[in-house]
Amino acid sequence: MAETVGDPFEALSDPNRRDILRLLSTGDKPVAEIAAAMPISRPAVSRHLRLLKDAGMVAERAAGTRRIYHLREQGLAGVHNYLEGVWGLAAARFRLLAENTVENAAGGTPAAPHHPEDLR
Amino acid sequence: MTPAIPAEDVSGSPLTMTFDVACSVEHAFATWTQRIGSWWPRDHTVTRAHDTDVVLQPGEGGRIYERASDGTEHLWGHVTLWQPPHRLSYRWHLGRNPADATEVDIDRELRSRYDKLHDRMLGTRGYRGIRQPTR
Repeated sequence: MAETVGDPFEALSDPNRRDILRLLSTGDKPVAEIAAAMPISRPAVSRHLRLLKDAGMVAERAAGTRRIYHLREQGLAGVHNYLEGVWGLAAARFRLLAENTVENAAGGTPAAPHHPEDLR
Repeated sequence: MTPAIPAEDVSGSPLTMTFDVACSVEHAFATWTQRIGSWWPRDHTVTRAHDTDVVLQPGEGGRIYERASDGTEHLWGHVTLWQPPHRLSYRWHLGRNPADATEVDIDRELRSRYDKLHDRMLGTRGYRGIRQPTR
């Protein structure tokens, strides 16, 4: 798997880059075609493509003088896995807290003190 | 039970997570909403400080925000559906760009197992606008 240096979340934080990813999800495209579909300049599109490439989310291949871009499944899967990890941790902490705090008779307002440090 | 996925996430790639919690659904809902400041991982806050608090205001339109120890607040998002103790949805961006907000949908079903009731909370979350390649 190719080494990636960029942050996939940084890559996803820009609406133009998300548009480029959406565009590429419909099929591989040369830079000119991507630029034609975007409201920003071609150099700006190239800059976004470079960032997406650094983050491992797209890759390119040469076809004659053209460069064809495509989505890299691993890049998007990485984002998915990361989010799953965050929510897995959050869910585990939630379960620990819910299962180890006292329920009051009035309908579930937790009675234990806030911020239990032993959950960390 | 099929989780509701917002229409705008149809092109997205929602994460779905299902787990059992050994407590009443009322307690689970109360813990999720009133004590989110205790269970939400501090690494995923704006300040990342151990004493930062997270508040989820009850009711539709309720604000979800992070409050640092010096009183500074960072808005994370808003509650979009409030049906205690069964359903809860909110839209948040965790202090980042509001245009990047994701949906969180909590659902739960009761099921019987070994004559004991367990609650199941089912969360669905999607990040907008990204579609997994179908290839």
